[in-house]
Amino acid sequence: MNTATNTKLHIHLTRLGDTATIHLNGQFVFDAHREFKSAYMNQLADPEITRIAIDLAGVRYLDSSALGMLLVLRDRVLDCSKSLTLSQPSTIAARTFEIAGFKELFHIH
Amino acid sequence: MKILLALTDATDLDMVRAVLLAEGHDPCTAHDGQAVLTAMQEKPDMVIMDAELTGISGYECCRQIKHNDKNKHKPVVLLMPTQGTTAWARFSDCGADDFIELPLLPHIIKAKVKLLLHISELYHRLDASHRHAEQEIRLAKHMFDSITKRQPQEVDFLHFWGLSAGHFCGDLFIFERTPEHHLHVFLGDFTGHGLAAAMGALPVSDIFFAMTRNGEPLEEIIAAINHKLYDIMPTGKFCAAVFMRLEADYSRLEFWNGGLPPILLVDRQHKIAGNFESAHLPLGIVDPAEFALATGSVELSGIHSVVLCSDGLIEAQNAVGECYGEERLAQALTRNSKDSCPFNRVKSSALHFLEGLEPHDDVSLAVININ
Repeated sequence: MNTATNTKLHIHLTRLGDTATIHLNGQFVFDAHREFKSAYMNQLADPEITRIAIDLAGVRYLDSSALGMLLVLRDRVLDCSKSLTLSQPSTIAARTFEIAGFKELFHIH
Repeated sequence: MKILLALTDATDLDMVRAVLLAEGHDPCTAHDGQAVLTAMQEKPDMVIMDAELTGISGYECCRQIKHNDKNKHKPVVLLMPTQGTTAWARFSDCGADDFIELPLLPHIIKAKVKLLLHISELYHRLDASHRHAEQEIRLAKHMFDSITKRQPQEVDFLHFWGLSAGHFCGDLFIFERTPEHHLHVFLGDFTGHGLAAAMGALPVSDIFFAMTRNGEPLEEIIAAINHKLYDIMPTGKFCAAVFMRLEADYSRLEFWNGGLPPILLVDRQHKIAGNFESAHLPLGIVDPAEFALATGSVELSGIHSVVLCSDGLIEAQNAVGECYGEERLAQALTRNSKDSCPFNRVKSSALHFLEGLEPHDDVSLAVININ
């Protein structure tokens, strides 16, 4: 298995109306934190964007630091009075959110 | 910078020396290969020498210089005389950092020296920061080991196995008896490894031991630890944990699972008789005022053992990228085997699965045998 290509998280952004969606593909782990942060910081600063969605359909693995990054994002979104959705979590992401009790904190659909 | 020069051609030597002096360096010279090796004791910052030195050749000098670990990042430059393929093969085998082709030109000497000293400086900085990080890891390991060594006694029916993803396993497993002899058990998995885990483990274990020895109920202890971690940890850092209280007569188990894989009960027929999923957020995330405390409770009649693990076990990957998974864990627990202890069965199943690979997250497994 070529770990170099399999461990990288690919991040891309789509915007529709007032919603910015950050699509994550691959392994969502600590290595991705800088790129993940810069992906959402620009959207938080944009007054036209009121909703942030994180598309987790392509997440093949996530660890506790990924949960940590989502918690940090949640704080920042609340500070800007915007809304946050975790959308289409992959099976493994959904299971991790379930174990971590994230449905109490996040809008997941 | 002190730069050692070994050049056979006197005109070249004068030119290079003049260039280095003009750049503010401190050139010194050696007339042959043996003299170069002797002059290394003076610890030059860089070496520039002819590849074809008399006596010991430049290639061989370079090999011997690089053989010493202290010179690993010290730039060694060979002046290459020919375009023969043998010379280049010898060059690439000897471990030199760079070459300059003859005839020598002053601006090339100047540029190469500047570049190589810059790279060497970066290596030294990286080395220093690496050493610093290792010191911190040693400190963290020391603190973490001290915490687990504070365990007052061994409990013979309680087994723990930790396999670290790095220098040491950052999952915290501690237990203590209340004055009434109930057994309190804690398994915690902190975000991150190393120092981050050790920093969190300190207050958790302080509160856990003190309150248990005071005979305080499990819910109070969980609330106090969540409160402390909520106060001190930044957003995004938390601790997935299980708390358990085993009654002194082993009749009943009280439990709380916030973010760890299910607590499993295995009965005497090797069947899974209970599965208690995480029902709470991990410690340190929510405000104490909104924190859900309610513990669960179960009778233990007919139960052989209680099994806890961190997600590092469930998510451990083998060489082909498969996860160990909850199913393999359940199979190992329920499989008919000569070994009647579920702890041994799971441990050997996980080790067999990993085939010597280091897990990417700390793996921990705790089993309490009820007898």
